[in-house]
Amino acid sequence: MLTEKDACQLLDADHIAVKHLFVEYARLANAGDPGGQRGAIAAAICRELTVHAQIEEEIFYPALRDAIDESELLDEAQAEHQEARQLIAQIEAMRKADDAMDAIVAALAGAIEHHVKEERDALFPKAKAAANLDLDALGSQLRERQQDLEGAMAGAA
Amino acid sequence: MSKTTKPGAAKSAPAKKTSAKSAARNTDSGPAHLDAPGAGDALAEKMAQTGALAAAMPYNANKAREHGFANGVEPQPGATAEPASRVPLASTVSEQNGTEKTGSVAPEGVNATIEPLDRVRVDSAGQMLTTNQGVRIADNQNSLKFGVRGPALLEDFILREKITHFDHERIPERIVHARGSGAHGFFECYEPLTQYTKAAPFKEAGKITPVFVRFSTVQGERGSKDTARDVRGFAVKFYTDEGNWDLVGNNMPVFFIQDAMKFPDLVHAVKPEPHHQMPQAASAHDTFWDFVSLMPESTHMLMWVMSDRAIPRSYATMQGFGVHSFRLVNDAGESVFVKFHWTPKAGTHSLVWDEAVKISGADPDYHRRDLWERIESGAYPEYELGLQIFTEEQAAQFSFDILDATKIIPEELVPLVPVGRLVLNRNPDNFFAETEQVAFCTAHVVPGIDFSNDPLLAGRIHSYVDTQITRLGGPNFHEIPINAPVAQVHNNQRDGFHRQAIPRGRVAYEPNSLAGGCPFQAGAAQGFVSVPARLQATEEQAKVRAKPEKFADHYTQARLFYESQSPVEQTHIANAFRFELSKVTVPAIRERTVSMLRNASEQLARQVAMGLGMELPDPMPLALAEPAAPEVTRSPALSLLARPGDSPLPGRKVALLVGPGVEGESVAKVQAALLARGVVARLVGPRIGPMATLDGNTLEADASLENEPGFLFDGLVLPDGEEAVAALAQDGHTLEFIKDQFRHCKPILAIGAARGLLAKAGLPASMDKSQEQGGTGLFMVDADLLDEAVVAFIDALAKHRHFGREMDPPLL
Repeated sequence: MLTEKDACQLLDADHIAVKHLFVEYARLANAGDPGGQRGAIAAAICRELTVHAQIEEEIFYPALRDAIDESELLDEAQAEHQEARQLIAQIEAMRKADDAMDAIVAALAGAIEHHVKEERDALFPKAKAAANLDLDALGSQLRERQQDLEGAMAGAA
Repeated sequence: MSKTTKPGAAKSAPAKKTSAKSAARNTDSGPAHLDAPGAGDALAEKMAQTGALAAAMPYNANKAREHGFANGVEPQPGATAEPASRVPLASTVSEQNGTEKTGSVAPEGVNATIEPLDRVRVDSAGQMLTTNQGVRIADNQNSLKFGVRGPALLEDFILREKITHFDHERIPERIVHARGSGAHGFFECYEPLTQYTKAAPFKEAGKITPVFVRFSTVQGERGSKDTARDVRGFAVKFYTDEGNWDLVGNNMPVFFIQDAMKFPDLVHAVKPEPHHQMPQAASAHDTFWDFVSLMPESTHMLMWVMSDRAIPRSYATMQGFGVHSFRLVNDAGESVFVKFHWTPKAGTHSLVWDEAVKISGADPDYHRRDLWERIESGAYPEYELGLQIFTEEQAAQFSFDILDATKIIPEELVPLVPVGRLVLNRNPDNFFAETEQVAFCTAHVVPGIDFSNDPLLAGRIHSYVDTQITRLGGPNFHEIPINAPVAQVHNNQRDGFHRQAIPRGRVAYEPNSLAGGCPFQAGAAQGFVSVPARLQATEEQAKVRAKPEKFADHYTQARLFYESQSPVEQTHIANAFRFELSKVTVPAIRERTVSMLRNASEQLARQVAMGLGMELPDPMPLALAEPAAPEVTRSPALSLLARPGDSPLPGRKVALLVGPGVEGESVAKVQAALLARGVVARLVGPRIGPMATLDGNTLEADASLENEPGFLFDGLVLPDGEEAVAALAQDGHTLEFIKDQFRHCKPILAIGAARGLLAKAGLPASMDKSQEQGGTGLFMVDADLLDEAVVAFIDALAKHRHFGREMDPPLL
């Protein structure tokens, strides 16, 4: 598991990592969050997803558009990113973690679950099967951009 | 009237005695006057005292008070008369003649059949084998034959008794809830609840009431698997000092139907299909989904049954509910409504479906074993009883009808009041005598508890008693030891199959004067009086077969349940619908079900439809066009995550995989740390038996990869030791073991060289980011960091599952 990940593995690593955050958020929200930690988790979710959506849109989806004939799937994925961005904006505008935030984070989790499932079930197999797509090279590109964006976010924070 | 001679007046005293004596020796006919005391003659004395006792009741003093509403709600105790001695109440004066069998005269005013169960316990230590008649058996190996090679003889009463009894060992299984497991325990009251109820268990702080509890599945037969997707029965028999109270509940607070009229239909639909008797212990088949998709009131219950609540980790980790609205009644006769909730101290934790399916193969007794082992090892299952108490006036304001068994009262609307705790601390001595013969009946209530008009409850009040009569072979099942109350039982019920009690005296009716009026009716002060609930008729009502209007809101609370789940729980619900409906063979039934779901949640319906490869059908037409707006649209209490538990660790099991050459010290350290927290840490090897450790000692594996597969454990530890790791790596079971632990989101601790096993099992590369982030429940450490890792592992075990790694379809 310490090998360099290809594009699909890298994006899936984001999926799994953000799912862990969603799960932890729900655990805290439902058990009363005695330590008051869920606001920070919501912020982490927003950061992760923002970077993830951006690298997908800048690098992964354009590469796929060239390699495979699935523009409908990609359009849908992009639309789902837009929907997620609206929810993220709502969360980021909230001052405290309360019931309202719980509801929006849950809605975001549902939307992401659906989006991830479509990528894993439909998009990744097509990408893996595409003869003219170098997923390893794409993986490096994604990682580089991801690190840049994460650095920029950390700087801004 | 002319003066006549008084009869007998002319007789002398000795003559009177003689004639009284003679008269008393007959069991029919008698003199017109009993004016001789009959001193010195028992029979004459009995006759005289009987006469006096009867004469003490010249008329039925209660009769006038049997009429009118006011008397009806305030009945008086029955009239009694004091006999001169115990003699007139006897069946026979010969009761004085005792033997070893007859004993002496019945203890006064006592039903001795309610003595603690020790009266019927049998312990055969040091005893010889006997027949049922107590005849010692000289040879239990051979039947009686004419010559060693000759024919067996009909006269062999010992063989025939043995075979005949064996042939009749089975009784009919319960129509529903056939598969069950039971335990003894006690209920302890926190504070007096006398403001609301006079029920015996709630009278004072610290009061202990004995209980017997039976957990069960509903659909499967007596020998079916424990981990089926199903409702679990949660039936509690309180042996109160004012009679038995059975709270016959489930682990879900709602039900599929609203009226007992539909109960046989529901059960016929869910049970194995009648033509080929399949499937066993499963609702995933045509007839069930055909029925429920034509009964939209089942939508709310379907959400519960498709949630992880239908596959609990343990009976100790599920809630219980009384389902219906009941009433509490206080000493003043005032009543309020109540809903009963049991909350497990160990938290609410469930299995995942893939795990439940696998467990049902490797250990169909999973929940029964878990319950037994928890109690044997002192990790007593404990539940807090909470009440939702509300008035009739409040109920009238609710957006739903409290008589509707498909509706909950959200805890945000009526909060739970904790009133006591239930502790299960004793396993039965004998499954059949106790768990199988126990008879729960919703009709069993005590003063202080009463029913609501819930039409499903009404049918249950009839059905449970009725079904026991066939199952337990007659109307005397209340005398089977496990069913006998601890309160005195005195009535005029007589005879029937298997009667145990021997009532003294000849009176089996009331009113009577021959037994001094006893047993007499208790009256309102001490006896059960039904709440004189008024019929709330806003318009003219008469006999009718119809439901109240609010019963027609079929989806508001289904939506509430779904919306209140965490995202992972919502996914599990969608996956369960997908699984169940995929098993259906008729597409139209799937479509009808999904069309019903659209009214509860568009998101859920879409997910289910996608998983079934079908188009989204139109929503089902609503039975109620404009349901009342709900008071609550999200209830966090409905998520399993709301109850992580005060003591989630005791009773859990962890596997430590050991092979020859294992690093023994760390195994011992981890095992001790787990045991200290009440966790059972089992050494599982490629085979059972001794395993040489790296430091030259031996460890004893008490389970094997073959006989205790990974999914039976709550967590996994992979100890260090190159050679042991190599041995485990070449056993295909090991990789399955790890794969299942990973897939079911359980904590895994890999030490040193054992980390390689995770990679070999196919741990995905894409887990690395989550590992850095933390909270995955996967711990990979060098031996020198073991102490901290064990603490983190135990903490992760207490969190039950780590669903962050759960993907659909699974990563591994």
